[in-house]
This record gives sequence, structure tokens and C-alpha cells, in this order.
Amino acid sequence: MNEHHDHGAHAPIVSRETPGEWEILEIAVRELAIAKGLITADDHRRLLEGMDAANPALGAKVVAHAWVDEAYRARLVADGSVAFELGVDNYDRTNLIVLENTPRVHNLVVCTLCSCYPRPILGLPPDWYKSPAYRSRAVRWPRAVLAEFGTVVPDDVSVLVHDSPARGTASPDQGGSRRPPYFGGPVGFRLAARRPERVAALVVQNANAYEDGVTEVLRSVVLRAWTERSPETLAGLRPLLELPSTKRQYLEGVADPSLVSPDAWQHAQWGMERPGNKDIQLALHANYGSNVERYEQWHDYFRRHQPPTLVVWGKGDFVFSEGGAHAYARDLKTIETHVLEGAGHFALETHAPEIARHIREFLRRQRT
Amino acid sequence: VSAFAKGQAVRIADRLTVGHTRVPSYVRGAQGAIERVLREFLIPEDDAFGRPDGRRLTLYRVRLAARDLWPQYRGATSDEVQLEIYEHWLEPIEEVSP
Repeated sequence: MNEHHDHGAHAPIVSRETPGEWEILEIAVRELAIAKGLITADDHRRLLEGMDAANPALGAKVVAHAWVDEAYRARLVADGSVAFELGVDNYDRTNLIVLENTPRVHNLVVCTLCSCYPRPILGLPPDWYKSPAYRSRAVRWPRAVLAEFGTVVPDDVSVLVHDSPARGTASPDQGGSRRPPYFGGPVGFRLAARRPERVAALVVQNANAYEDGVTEVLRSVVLRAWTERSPETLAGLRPLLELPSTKRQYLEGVADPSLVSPDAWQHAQWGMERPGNKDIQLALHANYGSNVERYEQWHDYFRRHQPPTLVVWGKGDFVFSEGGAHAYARDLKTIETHVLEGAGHFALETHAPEIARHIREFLRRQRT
Repeated sequence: VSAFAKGQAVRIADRLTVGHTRVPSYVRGAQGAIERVLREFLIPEDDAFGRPDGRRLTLYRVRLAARDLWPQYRGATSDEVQLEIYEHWLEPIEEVSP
């Protein structure tokens, strides 16, 4: 792309920052260690490269794999070194212990003495992990610390704080429960059903909560991977992660495709192609059935708490059909439903101004 | 052969130390139970000063009730702190007969 980038002469790039005390100490110790032949400059470079190459996506890949492969999960929890089977380089020979969050247990990991961290699978620890505030508060007020991160752990769930000052480095699986939530709609319904008092109203756009909206394509591919889990049904999910499927979500059912910026699906697919991300997406798809299992729970929440609800629905959505839009009226009393002709699954791509108007008017009516 | 078994009640020694150790002061003197037995590692107090003589000691994961550790603790009674302690810092708790 940068065909005209100028590689001509320019002033040398000079850092004017004075090295800090620790930096000087590091340089001195490193140069001494190399001079004495304890390590070579090459060892040092390789170690730095290994540290730079590791990032949280590796850990996410391990966790995602455990979600979809029960035998792997059992082995991983029994022996953390199983995490390094998936092409993850255990460059510092971390002794890994994998902790599993369950409906009864939430784990929190800290190293009170320093900043031990499972670097090969998560990369460098974030600065807050090393801060005295986190290290001292995590063992004393774990629930308050978790709440500050947005995770409120109910009283009937045990919080286990794992202090890792010695040799076994635990893996902080901050990703939450084993059954992960899926995209916006189901996440929202799960949260709302759990904390109804915090929800003033619902705005629903092609987010399904009824069997009525489950299309054949969703049932025969995605939900089958949940009800009949096998290597074959899981493999059936793979094509959903490729460009044609991504593009289809944006374009199918859209009357005027020129309204959809090609950047939309290109960018979505770019995100999908990041290393490790497809395994995560695969796990999310494989567990989508756990949302359908909650439909009745959500209906119960609707009936009991009656949140005022606006439903806007792209009529051409091939994932969730129009029936899903109308079904909400069975359980909710204060509801308005707008089915948008010529809009698909991502209805905002083509009908943003119209949807924004519906939202504004709906919210105005709720206030008065 | 490790001195303690999974589930066994233990006390973490309450010692003053000079120099490097891997036992945070907030757990010294605390009572708990062995959560799991890990393998043997070089003794950290020796290792840290570059004088390991090859002796190894078993490392354990010890579970401590948060309520016992922090008398004012406000959370679930089942909340715990778990951490790794080397064998030479653990003492058995004598069963008291009624």
C-alpha cells in the first residue's frame, strides 16, 4: 500500500529518556552475566522474543478448547501442563495449575509476594496485577476487588483466592464460567434475568428469546452441536467462521446491499482471523444451545417483571426469523414491535436512522 | 515421601525470617488443610542465594478459610485463600480427643 513511502535520509532517531534505576540495574546485571559466560546475548534475545510473543489469546485458546472437548478439559484440570500441548511454548518452564470456575466456585489469582504470572500462556502481566494495591487487597477483600472489575459474585458462590508465591503458577481464568455467554442478546437476557431490578427497559434488535425465531439453519447446525455433540457436529460449525458466512450475515435479506459498507464484513472477518480467535468462536457457537435452554427462564423474567420493551427486527434475518419478534408480546404487556422490510440480521447497517428514531420515541414514552 | 497427605490439618509455622522466603507474613501461624500435594522443588531459601545443595522439599497447596484468616471477613463462609507452602514451613495439628 505504501508505494510512495519515502525511505530517504532523515535525522537519526534518538531517545532522550534517561534510563531509570531499574533499567540501569538490568543492563548492568545482564552485561555482567554475559561477560561471565553465564548466559549468551543470544539466550537473552531469545527469552525476550518468547516473552513478547506470548499473549492472552494463547490462554483463551486453551480455555476455549476445554469448553468443547470434555476429555481435554478433564486432563487439563488434572494436570496444567496439558495446556502446552496446543503449540504453546512453555519457554520459562512454568508449572501450571488450571483452576476451573464452576456455578459454585469463582477463582481469583494473585501473587502477594511479587508478580508470578503464567507468562507463556498469557504474556506479560498487566501493571495492575503487580501493583501493591491489587496484591494486598485481593487476599483480604476479594469480592470487593472482583466487583470493581465488574464481576459481582453471589453469596452462594465461593470465592477461592489463589496466592501463588511459590512454584506452581496458577492460571487466572478471568473469563468467567465454563458455559460462556454468546453475543449481545443472550448476554443481556442473562444479566437482566439475574438482576431484574437494574433493568428499566429492553430494546431488542434481532435478539432471539423464543423457539418461534429459531430458523432451520440455526437448529440443524448450531443447536445440533449442543444436543448431539460429536467431532462431526462440531466440524459442521467451522464454515460459519469463514468469510462467506460472515458476509451472509450482513447481506442476506437486505433489499439494498449498497447500503452495507464492505468494511463491515471485512472488518468482522479480520477480527475472526486473529490467532486463536476461531477456537473461541467455535466454543461460543458450540455452547449456543445453553441460551436456548434458558428461554423459559427468560419468559418467566418477562412475565414477572414486565420490563417495557421495544422490538425492532430485520425481516430478512436468516439466523432468527420474524416469528421471534412477535413472540415477545405473549409475555410482555408494554411492548411495541417494528419489523423492518429489507433489513437483515445486522439491521443497524441499513436502517440505523429509523431504528434510532424508534428508540428515541420509545424511551420518551417510557419517561412520561 | 511427603510428610503430609491431602486433607490433613496443618499449621503454617509462625517464624520471623531474615532474607528471602516464599511464605507471606499474613499466613504465618494460620491453620488449614492440605488441598493437594505438589512435587518436590529446591529449597527456596537456599535457591534464592545461589547455594542450592540439591536438597528438595515437597511443595503443598494449603487451603485456609477466609473467615479464619481475617476475623472481620465479610463474604461467604466457604470463601478461601489457597497458597503453596513448602514442607519445612508446615506443622501437623494434633488431634485433640474429646
